[in-house]
Amino acid sequence: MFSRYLAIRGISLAVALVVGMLIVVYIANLGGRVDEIVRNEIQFNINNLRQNRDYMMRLQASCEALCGGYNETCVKACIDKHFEDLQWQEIVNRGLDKPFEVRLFYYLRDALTLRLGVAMWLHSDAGSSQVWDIISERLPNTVILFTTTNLVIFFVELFLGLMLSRKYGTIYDKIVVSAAPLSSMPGWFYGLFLLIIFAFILRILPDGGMYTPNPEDYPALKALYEFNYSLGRVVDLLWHMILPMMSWLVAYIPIGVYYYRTFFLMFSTEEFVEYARARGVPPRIIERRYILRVTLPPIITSLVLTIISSWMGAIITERVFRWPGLGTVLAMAIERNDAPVIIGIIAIYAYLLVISVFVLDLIYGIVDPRVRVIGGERR
Amino acid sequence: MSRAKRTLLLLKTAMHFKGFVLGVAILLVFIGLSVYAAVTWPFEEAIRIWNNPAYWEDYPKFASPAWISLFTGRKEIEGSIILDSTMINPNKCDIYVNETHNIVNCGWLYKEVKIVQRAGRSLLTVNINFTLNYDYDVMPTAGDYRLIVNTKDRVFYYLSVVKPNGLELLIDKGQTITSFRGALIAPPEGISLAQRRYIELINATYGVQLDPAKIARIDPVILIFVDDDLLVKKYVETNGSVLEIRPLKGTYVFKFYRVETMDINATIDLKIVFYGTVYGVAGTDKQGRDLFMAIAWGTPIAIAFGLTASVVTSLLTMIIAAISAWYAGALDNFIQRVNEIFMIIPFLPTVIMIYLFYGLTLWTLLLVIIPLSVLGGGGLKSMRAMFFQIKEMGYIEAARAYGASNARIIFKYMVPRVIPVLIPSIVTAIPSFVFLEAALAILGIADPRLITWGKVLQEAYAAAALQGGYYHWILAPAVSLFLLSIAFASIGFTLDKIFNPRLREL
Repeated sequence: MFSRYLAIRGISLAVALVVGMLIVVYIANLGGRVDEIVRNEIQFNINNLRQNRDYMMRLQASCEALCGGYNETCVKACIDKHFEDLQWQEIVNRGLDKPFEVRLFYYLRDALTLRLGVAMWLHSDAGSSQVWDIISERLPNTVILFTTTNLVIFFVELFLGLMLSRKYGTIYDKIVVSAAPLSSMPGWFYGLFLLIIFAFILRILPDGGMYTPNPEDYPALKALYEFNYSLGRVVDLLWHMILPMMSWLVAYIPIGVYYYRTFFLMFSTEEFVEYARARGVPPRIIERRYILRVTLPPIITSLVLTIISSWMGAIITERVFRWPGLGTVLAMAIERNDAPVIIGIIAIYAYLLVISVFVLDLIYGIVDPRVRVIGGERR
Repeated sequence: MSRAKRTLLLLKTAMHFKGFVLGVAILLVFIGLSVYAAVTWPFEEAIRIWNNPAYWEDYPKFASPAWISLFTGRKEIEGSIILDSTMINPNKCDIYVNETHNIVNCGWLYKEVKIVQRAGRSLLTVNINFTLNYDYDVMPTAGDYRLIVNTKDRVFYYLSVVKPNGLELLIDKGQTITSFRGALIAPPEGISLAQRRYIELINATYGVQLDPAKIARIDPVILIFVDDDLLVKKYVETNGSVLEIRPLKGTYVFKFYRVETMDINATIDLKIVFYGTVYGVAGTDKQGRDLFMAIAWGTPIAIAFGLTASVVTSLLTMIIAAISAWYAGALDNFIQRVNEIFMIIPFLPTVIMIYLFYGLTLWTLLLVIIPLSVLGGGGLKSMRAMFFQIKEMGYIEAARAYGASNARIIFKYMVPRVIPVLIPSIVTAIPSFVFLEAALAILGIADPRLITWGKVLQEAYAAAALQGGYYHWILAPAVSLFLLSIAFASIGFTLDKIFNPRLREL
């Protein structure tokens, strides 16, 4: 029964992955318009070559040799044929000889097998235009900032939520409840205010980027770098992380605490908890065995989804703080219609998402028999 | 109880919550602002004015809001000081005209146009005097003068200022045949006529030689209004290391004189503009545009966009979830799978791609974000779960038993049950759509035909307003966004407490 449920779940997730990626591939290629752009570029390069005197003289010479002396019609035909071949070769190289509808499925196949290929315009700072290289170069930057921040947010709101659910009705509880509307604004927006206050008026924190461009200008930082380069680097990085991290904490913690507080409160008024309380079970044990254990699955799900969604970085926050993460790469790729990069980043995200959802289903299925019944029996 | 009565009761209950009252108060202010904007500048006109740099030419650039003078305690220059010899109000001026003379005296403006004979030829001469009473504690941020001539022959001219202390500084002299604009700013290199004349003037009056390299960096507009006594005193005291710049209060006379041309039909006018330090409620941007206008016009757009997106998204989510739960089986399965597919497609990148591809307007953007939010959002799952619970209830069973149609059960019996959850969530979700517009604008993707808060934010960001210290430029749209979302969120949270008493008890 359980294996049947798992198989259905697996198949439906796989179908979702394939169809979702097909849509992504279609949109990332602008429904085929990227092809037009590439064709125009090839044409443009060929026209440039035609303007190149050296190249044309060498071509003329070889064509004359081919025609056995100067013969105007023969030479002209030879030159035209040369450029036509060149253009066709380039079109075949880029796979443009087949219609878009066909290539759509090639792209899909490449995306699903994670053969991400070569970027069209972007390249990594090290100069590689392999999509994998571009992604792997920026991924650490994103993970350092956003995964850390998301984890901090997650544990702070879980901890505070649990604490407040115990202190229901107190002044702390009221403060958190009235602070919840602050979360109606996104992190980057608080970033603007924090930048104005700390980076521009007080001038005590950096105004963006990952590292100080000229550490020599700051005596303390310079001394630290000279004392130990890696230590200086780490401190410099942490220094730059404060503001973006703060802006997310301010933006997302109030609603999270509010949510978990209500979530735990709802469970703590369930009958089996009330019964345990009536029996005189100590509050600590009630919290751990009766509330946390039952609420664990949705908490783990949201932890996993939090980590996964931090993978793509945050386009706007990175823009505001000039943080060179994956979100910046994605934004640049979108601006320049660089389909392989867009598809690559989203494909990895889609895989991470689908696999985690499946694994979570698997674990819950083992832990909680109700899942199996709902999944398998009713249909 | 009638519907009106129930609404009234609801409002009465809601008024007990401070958050709700605050939210409604802010919202009413914003609605008033929308009405004000629509009445003051009709939409088409607002767009035309906003995108017309010529309209804002005489406005001060980067001016702070006028109310900051309450904090600085200084008398600031609001708007610009405009001295324009074409701005003659016949009711307030004495005019004297005969065959050769044309004299206008308005008090602040004295203009005299004469035709004289010299060496047997007719000559047109013009004299313009502007009298300005300067009693501000600050310097103008910039200044320029424009010669507006319509002539067939060269015009010779002198322009100088007589300061309250009696010193006369020559600002410009020369000849021209076309209208032109002279900026009263320090030249990128070298030294301008006014700066050179200032050094000579100080030398002749005080016997102190100022360092030309230092004066060359000071805008002539500053030299016009600077307190010379103080400047020289400090300069001498500090051996030439400090140039103390303080405005000299009093009456200034700008003289446009020895203006002559052979073309006796020529018209010659002068306009001097000194740009102020503050303007209006919200200040101005790089082009001198009144930010209050953008804030006012951004308000109805933000509210309309957020409200439409939120209402349509929530209603569609609810209907699809209800259908999914009611019919169950294959249809439910299909909807669930579509939901999973759209969860894989990341929201913001997709919206940006489609926006760029089709060159959407703000309103067609709705056609993209609504389906993506409905099909990819988590709301569909939770709503569906709610409907599954409702479906099992006794009264639905009863309805089914007496043969109610599917549509009747869904829309008359199931949907009303989730309305209490739906309405607060609609209100709470409005800010997220307003911020979506702002986020897209920050990335440079904006509807060129609209004035939105996000666009002002983006322009400020692109012009490095933060680095330049023009915080008001960022703060005007940012504070508006902040207040609007706090208002909607507070109202939403309160409604949630009222509609769902289980939460209120907790």
